[in-house]
Amino acid sequence: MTCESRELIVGYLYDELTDSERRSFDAHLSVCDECRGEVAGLKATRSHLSLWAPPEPEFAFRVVREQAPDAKVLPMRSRWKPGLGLAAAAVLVLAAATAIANLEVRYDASGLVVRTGWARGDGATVQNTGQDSRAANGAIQPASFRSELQALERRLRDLEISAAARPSAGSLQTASARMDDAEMLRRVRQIVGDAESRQQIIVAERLLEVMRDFDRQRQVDLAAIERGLGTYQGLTNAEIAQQRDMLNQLYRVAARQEK
Amino acid sequence: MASSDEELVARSMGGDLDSFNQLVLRWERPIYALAYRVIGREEDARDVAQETFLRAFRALSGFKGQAKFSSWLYRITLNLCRDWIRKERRTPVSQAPEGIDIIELAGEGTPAESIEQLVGRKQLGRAVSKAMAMLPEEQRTAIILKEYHGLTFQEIADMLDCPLSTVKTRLYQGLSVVRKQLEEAGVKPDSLGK
Repeated sequence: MTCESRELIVGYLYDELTDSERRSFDAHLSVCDECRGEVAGLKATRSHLSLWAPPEPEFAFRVVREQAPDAKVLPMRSRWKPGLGLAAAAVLVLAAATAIANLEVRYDASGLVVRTGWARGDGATVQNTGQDSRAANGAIQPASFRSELQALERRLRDLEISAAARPSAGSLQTASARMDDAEMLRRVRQIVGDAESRQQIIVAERLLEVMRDFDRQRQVDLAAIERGLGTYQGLTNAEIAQQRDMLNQLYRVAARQEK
Repeated sequence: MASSDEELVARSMGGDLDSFNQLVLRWERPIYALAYRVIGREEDARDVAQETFLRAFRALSGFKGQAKFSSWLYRITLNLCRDWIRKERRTPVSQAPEGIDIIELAGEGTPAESIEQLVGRKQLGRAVSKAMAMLPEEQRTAIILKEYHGLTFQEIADMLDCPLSTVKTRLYQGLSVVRKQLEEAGVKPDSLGK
């Protein structure tokens, strides 16, 4: 078959011949068995080609404006750390217990610190090394608090001594001494109250921070759970596919038996 | 009345993203089908289709309208497919599933078709896919553009940067190889019952 006739056959097959070319080729086909057979064979091939269809995927692709780089969402896989959810829950429980029991557990450059009670004297402290570093941050200043207490204690002792040294003092002096005592107690209460307020604010801030962390982690966990559910869905689909295969097999067996 | 490609392209060039997404919606299936038939892998074809639209969007200002928008998209797609084949050093594959799902087929067929006819049609489609995968890239591309996308010989020649006669020769040779492959696979010319 010549190159010329090949081109004519293709043009004829796809109906891209001029009128004169078509007439001429029709005349040729009526006398050429080879070309007629070729045209018939290739027409059949073209009809077979129509059966090749691509699978139909779900299209969800749309062009969107580029977002700011910091809005980029990382794949969940890279962000997910197993066990972080449990750790966050444990921290939350610990924080709640801390708030209730008025317990301070801290580990920093100065070492491990465990304290209980509002007035944390040295006796309630288990500290393996160093001093309270938070004094430097200005969050709480136990050193000044302690010095104020010590000053108060000294003042109380002085008052007791002076009271003991003047047993015959008049009722007016006694009343004055009582007033001093009352003032002293009021100041002690005020100092303790201030310390409690500061401590409560710190605990509340910590609790808030932990809750934020927990919420963030919860969102990550939920995403992981969704992915997990997707996997189960995949498994379910696999089971359905298995059942389909079985049904198909049954159909084939039944068809064979009918024959 | 739906806007023409040219109108949507003009609006897209003016910054109207919705217009461009209308073009995406209109052409995503033909572009995906072209990529799938050239490279033969569903996932990769989808990636190629997405990349085609991204490239088109970025290069929209360079589209002067000498060719049809669809021809421009086809050209981008074919270039990406060529890159994929070169990069992966792969030949296109026939990705038809091993088994044929009769239940699924039953949902696809026309009411007049029996299950046997449906199965036969599916098997034939798979045989065609395998035969097409045997063709050299240029013959396969010529057949795909002509047979499934209805381009004229001249449009194919322009797209592939080759003479008109070369396009016809590639088509003839490609069709002849597919015919031979199908015959060897036991497919008869009248197997479609026509």
